[in-house]
Amino acid sequence: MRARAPLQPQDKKINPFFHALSKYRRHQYDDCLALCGSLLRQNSRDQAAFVLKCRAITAKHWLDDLEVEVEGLADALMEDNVAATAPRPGTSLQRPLSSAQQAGTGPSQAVRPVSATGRPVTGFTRPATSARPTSSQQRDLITTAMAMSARPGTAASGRPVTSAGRLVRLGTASMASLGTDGGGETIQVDGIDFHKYAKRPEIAKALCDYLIYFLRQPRKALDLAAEATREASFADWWWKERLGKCYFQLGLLREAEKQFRSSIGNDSRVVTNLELARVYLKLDQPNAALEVYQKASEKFPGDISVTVSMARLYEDLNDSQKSIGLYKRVVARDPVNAEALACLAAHHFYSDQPEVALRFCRRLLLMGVSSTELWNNLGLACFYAAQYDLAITCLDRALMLADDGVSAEVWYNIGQVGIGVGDLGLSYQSFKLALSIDPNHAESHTNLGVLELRKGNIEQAQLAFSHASRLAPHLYEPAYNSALVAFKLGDFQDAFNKANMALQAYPGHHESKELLKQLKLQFMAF
Amino acid sequence: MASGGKMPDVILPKEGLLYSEKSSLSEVLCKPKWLPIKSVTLAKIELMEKQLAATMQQHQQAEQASTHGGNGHR
Repeated sequence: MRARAPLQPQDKKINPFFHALSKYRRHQYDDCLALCGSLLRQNSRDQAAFVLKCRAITAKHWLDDLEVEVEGLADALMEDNVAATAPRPGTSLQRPLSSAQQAGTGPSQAVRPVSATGRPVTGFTRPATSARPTSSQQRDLITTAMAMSARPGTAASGRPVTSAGRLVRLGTASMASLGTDGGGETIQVDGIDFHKYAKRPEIAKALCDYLIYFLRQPRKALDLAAEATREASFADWWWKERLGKCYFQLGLLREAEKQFRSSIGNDSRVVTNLELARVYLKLDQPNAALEVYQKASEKFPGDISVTVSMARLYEDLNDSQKSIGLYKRVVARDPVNAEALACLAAHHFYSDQPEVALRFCRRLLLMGVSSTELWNNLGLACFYAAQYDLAITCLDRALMLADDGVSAEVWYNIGQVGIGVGDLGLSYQSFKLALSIDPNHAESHTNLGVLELRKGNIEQAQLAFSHASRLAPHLYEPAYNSALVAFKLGDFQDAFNKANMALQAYPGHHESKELLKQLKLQFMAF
Repeated sequence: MASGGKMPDVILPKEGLLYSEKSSLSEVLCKPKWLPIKSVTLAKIELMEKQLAATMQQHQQAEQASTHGGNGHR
């Protein structure tokens, strides 16, 4: 953000370094960088200006790297860090507990739809939310993996295939943005003698963060951190934590674990504990990660980030009961935690309490979150809480804010509202519009098929169902509908196959089982 | 509530007809879709990538303009 007013003459009296520092504290990083740049031009050996410039660039491009755990396509297919290839249920993120195993504690698939990874849809996306496929069958399908790499709102094409590739790309993005907005030239690190800097921990720490968070060169940062931790006679937790971070980014997970453990031994910090748990998550050992979280929450009882991480992990393990309990604890401590609010809203919406979901959404709105997703959710919550007039307005606003990535979803939900009020013309048009924006929107295909069936267009309906189940094998609805139509038409073999497909997607689906029972009776009669 | 510690007896009707009706199978619709809200980090990454794409496009356009200017390949 630029300064509101241009520099006044009296400002010239201020010490320029103090001025830069004050800009830094007020998060006006561009101004701070400009001031530091002019200081460095006057005296290129000004260490204070150098450190401040490093800090400002880092802060401007800082990303919470506890959140940026992105698994690319290549990472998912060529994963060799995972310890067990056939883990027992509940001990791996690839085989989370299914709702059947939990005796009805999790949300049923008939009420809460699942995402392409086979987990119930969540209320909040982080860059890593859709990371791992849940079944080996899905892992084998490259097409599924391709579809999974497409997150809502981002273009699937041109996405880097590995997490390291993503880091490089982020580095390029931040370099490019610094080049264009007049922030001044970057710091040349190629000629820097790390050995010399390692003796000055204040400067070295700023430089290390600059390497990690802005240039995204973990290998260089590793060199610096290794020198510095030696200088600090292996007693500084900060350097060990940064070493672990670099190892993690380079994919050397066991080394990273060692460094984090050693850092915790020196001085246990929340962030180090969270990073240690992240190593275990990457190794697909959720129970080890849970143990780390447990210990951390005993040591730091009031800390929210530990509780949120634990709630996320339980959600990934499909243990929604525990995750909701933890999210409630988070909201009790921090009433403006967006992640907890969003997850609770989704939970209440799909457990038939749209009024409560509406209240959570309203709180999010009051906090200043204004996005297509939130307006869409508000619209749905209003509609199912019987506030019909508000629902249309909210969905309208969601459409106004939507880009091509999500507007198909909004139109799909408008179609749902149309079905709810009995305006089948509206819903037919909405589903068609959703498909014109995103031809691969499987849910719209399915619902359009049901509407076609009501009109009596059986062939078109069958086409829509088969298309939908090819696009989204994780949905049970198109397969089941297709089976039912085939059954009614007398094509029993097809119906049998399709009903089995539906049961594969949703093993507890009662109607599909019923249909199979009837089919078996028919087969016995022949 | 249960201060006496003794649970009351459960009364269940022993006689009478039990009605249950099997619903006929019908098509199911997909459920309304709650859209997950994006985290700040995700929004920031997307913004950075969008900015990068825009700058790359500008560079490409500038390059194309310069090559069409007559100098050919550098």
